[in-house]
Amino acid sequence: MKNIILICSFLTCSFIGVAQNGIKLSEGDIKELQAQLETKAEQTNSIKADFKQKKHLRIFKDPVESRGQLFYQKPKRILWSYDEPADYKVLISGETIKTANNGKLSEFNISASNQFSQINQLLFHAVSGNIIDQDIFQTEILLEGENYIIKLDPISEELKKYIDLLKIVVVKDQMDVRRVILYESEVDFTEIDFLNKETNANLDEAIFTID
Amino acid sequence: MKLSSPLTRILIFALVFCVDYSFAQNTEYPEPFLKLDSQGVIYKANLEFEDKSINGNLAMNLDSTGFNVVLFSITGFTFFDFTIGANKVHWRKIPEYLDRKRFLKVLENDFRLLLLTPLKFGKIKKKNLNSVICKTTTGRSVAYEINNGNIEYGKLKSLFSKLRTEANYHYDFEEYPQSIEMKKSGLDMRIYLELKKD
Repeated sequence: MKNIILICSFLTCSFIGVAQNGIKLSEGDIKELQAQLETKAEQTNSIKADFKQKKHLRIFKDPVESRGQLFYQKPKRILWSYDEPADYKVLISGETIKTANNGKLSEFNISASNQFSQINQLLFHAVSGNIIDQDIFQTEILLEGENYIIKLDPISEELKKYIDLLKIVVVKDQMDVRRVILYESEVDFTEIDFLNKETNANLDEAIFTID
Repeated sequence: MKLSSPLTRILIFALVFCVDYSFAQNTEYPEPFLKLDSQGVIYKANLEFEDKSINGNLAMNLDSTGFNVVLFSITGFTFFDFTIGANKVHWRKIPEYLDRKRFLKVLENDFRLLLLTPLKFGKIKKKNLNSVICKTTTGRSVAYEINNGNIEYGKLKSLFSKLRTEANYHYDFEEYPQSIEMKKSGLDMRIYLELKKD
């Protein structure tokens, strides 16, 4: 009886181990997935989604939560519109970032800061799904259940200063980005979950006007 | 020397006592204006420097290492992260473009003023009907405006320096300040903090 319990425990543990670690994709599989994601990104002209953001800090046990809506339009426009905890908008349009904080507007050029340029480019790629760039990241992809877990480890020392690791969860069947986790360090990271996502919805031009 | 010998016991006791004593010394901090404990507090933050403006959240708590301070943007990026104690500051993260000795010293002094100035009523220097000026243990003066026994407003100035800071605390009849404004005399820089409520 004892042996049966031991064997069952061993099998259960092994199963959990596989479920947590996932199946690592080969170089060939990664290239195939990259092609599928690129096709999906090409077909995507706009995205409308709700998002839930959790900022994990080393000093707090619980994350700091905020939520809002995301609007993306090809080629280079993203609006992060926060509802909670406060009304705040960030519009990234080409090389310009505009923010509106309770009606107070600010504007600056991203190209002036190498950090902003690189992070901005990453966010566009992460949101649109065109995320695998083997020149910028060392890439590892795991298949966990219905999702691909894409781990992007920056190669350049410059990018490593701001991003320790970028983890993106893509739903396998729809090739859809469901979650982005941006690690600044092991204990300092931001999780963004996308909900109620609509692809190629008609977005009114007024959405991208904040003044 | 045997471990059980009386001399060894005394030495071990002395060593443990010294370690414990130095730890206790490091963890003694004055009670600050803000309500800070291990649970911490978050203020919505707006930093203005000349024509530039940063909006974000300022998270702070207190643990055995000191006051931990993290400023992060609304979109989640951490601008700076440091721990400030009675005599030293440990910078964990600072943007490269702000990593200048002079700027860090200004920032450290501001947070020293904010977090390490004891603001409980100390030695009362002057008292009017609705205002009290107190002398803190670090020699600074704090002017309070009182309304029906509640603190409505507090003003604190840093010691004389080229970049003198003035901190204004708005209590709105609460126990702890609901908003704080810090301004500099020789620099176009302003920090505005507003208590984040759930």
